[in-house]
Amino acid sequence: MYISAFILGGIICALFQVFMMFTKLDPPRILILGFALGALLTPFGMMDALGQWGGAGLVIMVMTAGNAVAGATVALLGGNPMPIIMIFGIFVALTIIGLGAGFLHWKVSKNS
Amino acid sequence: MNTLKPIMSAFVVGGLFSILGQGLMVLFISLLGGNSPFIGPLTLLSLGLIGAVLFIAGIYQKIEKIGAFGAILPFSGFAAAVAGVFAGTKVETGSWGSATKAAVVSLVLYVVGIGTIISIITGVVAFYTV
Repeated sequence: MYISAFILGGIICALFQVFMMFTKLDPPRILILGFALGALLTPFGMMDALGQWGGAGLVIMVMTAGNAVAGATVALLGGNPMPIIMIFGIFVALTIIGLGAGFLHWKVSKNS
Repeated sequence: MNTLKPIMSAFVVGGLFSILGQGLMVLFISLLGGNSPFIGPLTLLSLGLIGAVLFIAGIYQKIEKIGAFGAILPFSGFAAAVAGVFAGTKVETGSWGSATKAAVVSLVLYVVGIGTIISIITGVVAFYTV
């Protein structure tokens, strides 16, 4: 599982690297594309299939966000609001973690 | 050669983060059991924390320089990107207000917002068609 995670995660990152080198888009726009790609692959079962093979090689990538939101929307329409609440909770938490890290880094580099 | 090198480093760095993520997943599965809905979220949050700690120490910036998308695509890169924009804008403008706005509005709301809208539309279409 560790080996297939390494291979799948590596291939995904390499493909996005190639994509950026050819399109010259800035990283935020490419992240949006990755986000959307995760959602678009969801209904066809592609994400499940890839995840079953590569495990964390897929789970830790930005496409998971799109996959999770698309899946959570289906759950919400089916009457279960929990997944979408959890996903936005994760986004908020990650943003706060990022802001905290930015602040601490600024403090550390100011004092050195 | 110049085009091949960054692609290879993105592959290796992205792969190494995946191994780290796999280790976290295995850990949480052993703690919570394989069917827990919290395995994925906990893995992503832990990676975000790892990215944040490495960013504070100035290490994530170096990993990003080598691995580019190998370091940007994993969720640790999301936390590090927020941190980078936040700290960078503070240094440039000297204002915490502009720094917060740049990090939260121009980065998080921009990427997550548009990404979420596309994903919700996909979800709705999938719900009514598939």
